[in-house]
Amino acid sequence: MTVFSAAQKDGLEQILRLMDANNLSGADVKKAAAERKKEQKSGGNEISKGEMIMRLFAYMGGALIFAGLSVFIETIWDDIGSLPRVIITLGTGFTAYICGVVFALDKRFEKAATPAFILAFIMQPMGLFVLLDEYFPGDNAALGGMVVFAPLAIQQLLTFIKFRFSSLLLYSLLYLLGFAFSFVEYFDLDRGASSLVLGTFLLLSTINMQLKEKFRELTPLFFVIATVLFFSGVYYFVGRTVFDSIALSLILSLLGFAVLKESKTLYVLCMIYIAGYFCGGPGGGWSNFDWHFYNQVTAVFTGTSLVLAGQWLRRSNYISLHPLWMFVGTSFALGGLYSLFPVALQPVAIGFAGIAIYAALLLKSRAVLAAAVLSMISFIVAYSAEHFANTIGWPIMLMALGIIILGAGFMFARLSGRIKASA
Amino acid sequence: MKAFLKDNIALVAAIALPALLAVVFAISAMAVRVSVEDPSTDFFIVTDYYDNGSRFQFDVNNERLNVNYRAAEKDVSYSAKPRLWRVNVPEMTVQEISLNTPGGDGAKTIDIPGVTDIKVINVSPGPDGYSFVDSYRPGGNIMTEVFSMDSQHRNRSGIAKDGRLVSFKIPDGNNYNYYNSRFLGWVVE
Repeated sequence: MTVFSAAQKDGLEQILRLMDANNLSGADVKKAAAERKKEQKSGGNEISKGEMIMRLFAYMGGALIFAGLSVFIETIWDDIGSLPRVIITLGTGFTAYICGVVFALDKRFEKAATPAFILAFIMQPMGLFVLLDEYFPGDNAALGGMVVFAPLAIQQLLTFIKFRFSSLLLYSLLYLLGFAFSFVEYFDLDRGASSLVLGTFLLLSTINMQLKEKFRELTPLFFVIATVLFFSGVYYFVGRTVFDSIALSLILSLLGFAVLKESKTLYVLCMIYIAGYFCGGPGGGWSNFDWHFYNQVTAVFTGTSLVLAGQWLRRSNYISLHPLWMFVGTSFALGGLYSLFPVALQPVAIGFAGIAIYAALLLKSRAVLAAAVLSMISFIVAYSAEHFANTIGWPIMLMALGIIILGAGFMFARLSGRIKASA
Repeated sequence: MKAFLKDNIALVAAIALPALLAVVFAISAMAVRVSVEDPSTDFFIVTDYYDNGSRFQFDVNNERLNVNYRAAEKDVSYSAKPRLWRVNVPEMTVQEISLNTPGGDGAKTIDIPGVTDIKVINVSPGPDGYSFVDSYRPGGNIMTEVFSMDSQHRNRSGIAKDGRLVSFKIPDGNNYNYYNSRFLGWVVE
């Protein structure tokens, strides 16, 4: 329960009175607030059509100039010596960087600084690699990577500290990543541990960036890189062990952050990771101990976790597909329970399906209800097929099953109606 | 904090449940490690091995490990040379036994001192109650398949008894040679 101050309570009281007077529901207010927020967000960045067309031509012109320069360099590359090669790559990159700094220092030319920095970001490392290739013997690419990316990362970081352009932070982090990958390769470090350390650092940095309005636009790319590195590290240690489920806890934690702090990219990534976690069966454990019930117990725990996460996700402003989560989660949990019981006690699992139906009413979820009813029918069919098939009572059993299914359908329709009415 | 937890209790429980499961498994793994005695019987395995495609053939007969070799025939292609290993328990260290290719034509029986002249049995479970478990099992979710490519737990084999699994790794072993690995027999010298 959220605690409100006296002033906030007064405000809420007024809002409720206005809602009653104007026949508005909570959903209407929420929708209007979301639209207002959206308008406020886009308001500051709104640009006129003329300016947009001007920008489009500017980008196209810039791209053509860059493409022309690249083709020209490629054409004359074999005919020129080492020094010209370095001058046209590193020289161009460094000049672009100096131009970027000069533009950034003057408010009138500030907008021109960004394309100059982009050019510098591409050409400087290229130029440094050419310099190494032309003048320094040796073919250690990892050492070369360290030598190139370390000074560039420092350069971009210092420039970012001075001018606070978010793009400079992006370049600093990308160079830093390049340096880190080269460092791991050069010293032949444990890749799993390196991925975990690097992924955790990057993920925490990106989370921090997400919390700061100014740097939010940079987070999508970093969330992709950070989560891939982070989960590569996590799976290096827990993958194919019975501790595989820790990965699900981590994904759900990130999902919670994504919803609460409104990161659409992280939200989509988490959805993909969760789908991946449940596709192909629960868990992936192997190497710690050989327990017969490993998959079943994992299905019960992770399935229940999915139902709870789906229930929480109802609050999300994004498309959450929470009914699908709750349906899959309930099916996993009940399926796991059914397989967990020894044959003689399998009818008890049918009782658990009954508990799930009760839970569906509490959670007001028709998806849980549908999964519970379907599971109950499946259990009865599977159990009777296993124990009564090929007996004289089998046809009678089939008829009884038909009646059960009809009853289950009737029950589903009634309970579903109740859930709809109470929701 | 308390208010946050109360507001988001479903999410907190969703996060806690899989973590709790890992704790349950950790305790169970510890319990079986304490309650099930250590393995005590060394054993032989062969990796990179195709039953029919290899010029080396292995089988256990009359409590002896037989290693046979057939010379190459014209127009018949053979798989790469298999690798024979003795796994020392309980340390679970592996020792490769070199397979020398004999010269001449026809089929030959290869004698390897310390391998073909000792008592070996092929039963499951073995004398100490442990059974061989191959790590190459299909399945696992997509996340595991995608992200645990470099996992230190990938490409391991092991022996299991009453829920306890003791694993080992072949040096330079990859998924490919594990897929073609065979358990040969227990050493009962």
